[in-house]
Amino acid sequence: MKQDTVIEFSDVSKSYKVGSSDSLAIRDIFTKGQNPLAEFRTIQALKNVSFKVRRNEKFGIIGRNGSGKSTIINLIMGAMRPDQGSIRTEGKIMKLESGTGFDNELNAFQNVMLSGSLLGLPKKDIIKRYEEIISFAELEEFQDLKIKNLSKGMKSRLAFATAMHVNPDIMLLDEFFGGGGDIKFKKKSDELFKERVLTDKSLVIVSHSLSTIREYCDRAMWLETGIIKDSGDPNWVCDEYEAYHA
Amino acid sequence: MDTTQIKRKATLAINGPRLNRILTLAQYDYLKRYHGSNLGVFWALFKPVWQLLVYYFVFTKIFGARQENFALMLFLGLITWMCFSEATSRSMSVLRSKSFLMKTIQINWVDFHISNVITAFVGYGIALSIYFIGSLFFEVSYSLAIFYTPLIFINIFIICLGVSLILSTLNIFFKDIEQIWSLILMFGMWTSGVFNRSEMFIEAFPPLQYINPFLSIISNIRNVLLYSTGFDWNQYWLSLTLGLIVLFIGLILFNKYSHLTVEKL
Repeated sequence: MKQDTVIEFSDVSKSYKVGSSDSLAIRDIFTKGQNPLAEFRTIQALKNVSFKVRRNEKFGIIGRNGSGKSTIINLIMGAMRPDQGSIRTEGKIMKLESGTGFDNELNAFQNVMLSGSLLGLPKKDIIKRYEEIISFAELEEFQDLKIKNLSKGMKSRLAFATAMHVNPDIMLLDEFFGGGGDIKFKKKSDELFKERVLTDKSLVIVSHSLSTIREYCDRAMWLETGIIKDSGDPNWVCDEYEAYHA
Repeated sequence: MDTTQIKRKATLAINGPRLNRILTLAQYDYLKRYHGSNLGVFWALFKPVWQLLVYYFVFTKIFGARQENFALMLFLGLITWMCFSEATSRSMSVLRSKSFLMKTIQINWVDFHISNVITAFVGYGIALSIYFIGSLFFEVSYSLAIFYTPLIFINIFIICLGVSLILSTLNIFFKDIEQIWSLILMFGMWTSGVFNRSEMFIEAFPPLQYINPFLSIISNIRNVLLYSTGFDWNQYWLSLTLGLIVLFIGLILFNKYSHLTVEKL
């Protein structure tokens, strides 16, 4: 992988085996003769997808539901394995997704410690940054509560503030933008996002919002049923996408 | 900066940062498991104390067990078995409970299982400390054989991890694996010599020692922590070999199929 490339997909294909996804009971093997590895139907999520994301590049992925956007994110995270092709990444990656990424049974401090530690930050650094995180997320009053007791908006604010402060090299935003807050929070999160991410982070944004892609991305890729339909300048790709689906 | 080719391999090569991640996971697992309430620490300590007292009362005072230190023998066997039972029973839900991390941070998934076993070992450590205190009351004398104890812990850890990886993988495909495992655990507990001297089982049915490594493990841990009769290397190599075979199979299965977890969640 070239030095300035942080994510590289080479000829990646991925399919899902529907039918074997529902767990069987072991008794079914004996009583019904079912094979747990049997494939009843295969859905092709990605077909021969190749692309690169360069260091500090803001890369957008657009496409309709089921086009393979989230599959790409899961493959980047290593949560799934491609059937064919290779994927390489360089640096610490964190994904932001609305309302997820936290352990519901832990409180804000414990979750921030957990995320930071898993990203390789020393504990004393995380403790130092925690005050900023909780203050930015405006959750000082709720920091002792378990995450399950926070609203979805509060969780999004905490997720956003955590990601901004634990400093991953690459951020993946899957239909996540600006956290869940009022206009004042949106304004300050936008400022922090511009300051921390748009300057020296690689960013992959998956979104249905074309305005987001146009505003923040240097380059965009349009996926249609698992195939790259177009890629390049975000305004051009978004225009093509809009015209195609008009 | 690390370059990662995304091929989630369950390797066991542990460096500093990885150990730090595993210990952090274990720390918060432990926190959730034992410190759920304000009295969490109290219960974590009190439960084994209470267990030991009940065994002493029932088996020594009521049943009049003739065997010396029967309550301690039972307690030591049972806490060793419970460590295995707890680690492996929880292993089937480990990946599901950590799916929020699997999707948001790149991490080797086998670390979730290592941390789960460490958490079970923390509980085991607490119970063992109660055992040591109890053994002082019953005037148990220790020999130098006590220094072999870490070897037994390594053996238990290897078996717990290997079985956890196998169960976790099977759980992707079979929804009734928990019920089946609970039946196997019951068979395992009654054939591990938890309630009697392990030698009885080996004499009565020798093949059992090749099926159930805890027969050797519990026998050896009693040898070094209760009877001071020395460390039985033959038994140790047998249980260690069984553990390593289980771990090898577990790693192969986990490497081959664990990536299907997210697809099936």
